[in-house]
Amino acid sequence: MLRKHIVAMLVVVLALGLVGGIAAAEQPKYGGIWKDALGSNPPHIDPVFATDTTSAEVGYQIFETLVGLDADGEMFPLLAESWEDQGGRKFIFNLRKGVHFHATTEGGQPTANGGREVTAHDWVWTFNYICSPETNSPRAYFVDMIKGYEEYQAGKADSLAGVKALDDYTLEIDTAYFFAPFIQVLTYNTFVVLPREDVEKWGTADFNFHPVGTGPFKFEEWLQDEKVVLSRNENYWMKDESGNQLPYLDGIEFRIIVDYTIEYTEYKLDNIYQTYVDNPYYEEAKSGTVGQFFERPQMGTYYYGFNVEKEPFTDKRVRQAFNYAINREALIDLVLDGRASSAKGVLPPGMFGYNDDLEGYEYNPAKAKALLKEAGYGSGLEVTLQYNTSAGHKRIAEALQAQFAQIGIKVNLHNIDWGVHLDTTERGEVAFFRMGWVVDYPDPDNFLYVLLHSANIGPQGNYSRFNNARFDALTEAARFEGDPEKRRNLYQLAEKIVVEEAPWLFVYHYVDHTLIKDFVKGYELPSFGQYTNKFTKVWLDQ
Amino acid sequence: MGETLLGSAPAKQQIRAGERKGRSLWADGWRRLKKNRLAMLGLFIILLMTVLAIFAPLIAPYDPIEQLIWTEGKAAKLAPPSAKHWFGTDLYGRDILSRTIYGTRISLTIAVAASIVSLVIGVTLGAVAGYYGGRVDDSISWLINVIYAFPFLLFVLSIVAFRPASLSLVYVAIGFVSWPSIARVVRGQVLAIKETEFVEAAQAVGARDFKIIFRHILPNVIAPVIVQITLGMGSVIMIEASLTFLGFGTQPPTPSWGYMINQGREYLLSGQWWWSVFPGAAISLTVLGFNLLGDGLRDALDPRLNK
Repeated sequence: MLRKHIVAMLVVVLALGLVGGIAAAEQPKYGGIWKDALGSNPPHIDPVFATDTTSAEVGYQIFETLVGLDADGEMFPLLAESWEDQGGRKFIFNLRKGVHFHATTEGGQPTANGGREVTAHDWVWTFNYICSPETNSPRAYFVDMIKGYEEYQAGKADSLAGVKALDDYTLEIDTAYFFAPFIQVLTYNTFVVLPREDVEKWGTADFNFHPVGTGPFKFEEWLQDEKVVLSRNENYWMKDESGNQLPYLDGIEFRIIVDYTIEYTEYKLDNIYQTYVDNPYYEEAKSGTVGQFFERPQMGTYYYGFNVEKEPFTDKRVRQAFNYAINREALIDLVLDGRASSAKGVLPPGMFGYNDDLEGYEYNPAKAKALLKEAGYGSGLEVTLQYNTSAGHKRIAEALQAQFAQIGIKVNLHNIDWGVHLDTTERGEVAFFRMGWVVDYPDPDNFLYVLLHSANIGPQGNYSRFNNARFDALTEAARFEGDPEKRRNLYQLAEKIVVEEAPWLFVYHYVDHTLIKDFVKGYELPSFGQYTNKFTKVWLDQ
Repeated sequence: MGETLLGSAPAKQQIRAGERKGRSLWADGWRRLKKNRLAMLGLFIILLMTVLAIFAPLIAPYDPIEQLIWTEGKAAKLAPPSAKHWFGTDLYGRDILSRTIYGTRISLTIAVAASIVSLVIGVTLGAVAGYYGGRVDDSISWLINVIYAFPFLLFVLSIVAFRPASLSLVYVAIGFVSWPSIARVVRGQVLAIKETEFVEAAQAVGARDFKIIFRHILPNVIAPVIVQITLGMGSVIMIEASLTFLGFGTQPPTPSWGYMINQGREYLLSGQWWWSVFPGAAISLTVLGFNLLGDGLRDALDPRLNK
């Protein structure tokens, strides 16, 4: 009897201890600096002008949208506590109370707004600011379905008719037509709330270097090409499940490390807590001996763009020949260690409208040669591929260079800094360029309309300067279409045109990954990509 | 450096003395050089590299830019050194031995071409500065000092950055920054020689400056210039490798040592050492060869050291 009691008591004690132990281990710890790396100097921290992932990675910590996306890509209320969809063209957002702009920044200096509360009027001002023709945001057109957008952009109205503050905590947005993914668009990193006082204090150009938002982290310092430093926003509105103030971290330090080898070495030396894993280290990272490794498909497409306005890419047959010239499966298997999936078209798997039956380009060097001959380049052709400096891009480029050489295309490789690459490509100065696109909002509109509609030629996303009337009509019709089946059909027809016209050399769809230290807790790899991670709930068990 | 500022007058005497015995400075130098084992080793290395460069297509077992992975699959990717591939293969299944052999072509071509550029500029400007003196000398010396003071690699980078990378641009860029060391040697020699009697004699019979410089003075400057050029070739090869390492210079797929080291470096930590170590060894060996020979030549051609 006694023995039984003792055993029972021991079990209870052990169990309690275990539970206590787990609870203690799971109790988040405050403090510590999140040390991370950026692959390049961010072109724009100001979210109004950010069009790339490196910029967004920083912006996500400082600024916040009405609606957020969780790690699985599901929407959740962020600065809007809830919203009502009133018939698909009218949205009422009930704003969260007690959200404040950063009160201090850059070493404790007071901000111009003084840390005041965010109201619906701030949202009205910000939407007007983003969409204003003077601001000239390259991403404003993402919300061009908002009522009055055209008039405002054309200077015929002095404000955006479709955005109204019903009271301090209620915001109404009306759209001119039904646009299925409207709420998703609002999760995009440009549609954040900005403090008018600070934007006006610095002006549109300099706000980029003195950003102020509502996010979990405040801007401290940006040493160009060296590092970006953020500090904890002690007045942040969000609390964790147990009511503890977020974020847990004292700050973030993003070091700009262009070289994957150096980044990985720094990671192993504990100088950064998260790293990109370049192919040479893939096996080691996967083994689980050097940290927690996450990997998942990411909705995105890696491509080589042809500027269809520049020789020799004005000829469709040349563009098709390039597409037939490369062996995507072998490239992915042999050079990318299988860390991607082959691209037949523009839309990535998992995206609404993705077409399983799409006929892409198979590897067919004979056909490629024939097409080149037809186009008058039977004796060969020489072009220059511009890509942004990175070991990964170079590796792919050199592999494809050899494949192009097989059909008589001599490709010279020209690498250049990311910011310059983006600029020159946006201006249409580059005939043949590497580019990639990862989803901003999970809808084909974000790929087909944004990247290939003729209205978006230039920095808006159509770097190929593709201009096809039928494609334009289809993607526009899809924007207005309410019936999902019909929309899907419209997008699939539109994508077929792109594949046929080949303004891109379709290469692969991304698989994203990250490697973080074992002592990092509360981290999830978002389905939209590592760059969309917010460090609000991340803590260090050190 | 190999400047023999004070060596000119004895050199002249040496030549004359040598002529009487039927032995020139060169024969004398060669005799001394032969006795220097290290210098002969250097000469051997350079000759070996030259043979490799000239006969690369006959010696290399594979096409240096052929990517074997597309036909042979994973087995050809990053294969370690073996009987089939002595130096192993790279990511694309290219044979590293063949690439290293072909790499000698780039390195030696650059070394020679850049040396010719720096020779032409350096000898001309050095001779003009030394012979005329005064303002001409001041301004050329100023230019030399400016280029000396400027960070070497940065200077080449800024020249290369203006235009898309190409090999000929690299020749010119490297030549353009390496001429001052030659100009300085030549200027010093000329300064000393122009005071000698035979130059005065030439001036007295009314020979034109051009003729005096090229016929009477420069032949007496050749020895230190050769030393300077030989020692400089090693550093030219290093600069080319550094430039290519940084992404300028030679462009892929052309096999260049600097580029191979750069690419291989990515795989160095994960254990695939052969991609960068072999071309690295090739650079070290070649530079060593030039330096040994250069040192030997300096000793052999400097009559002050005559025993």
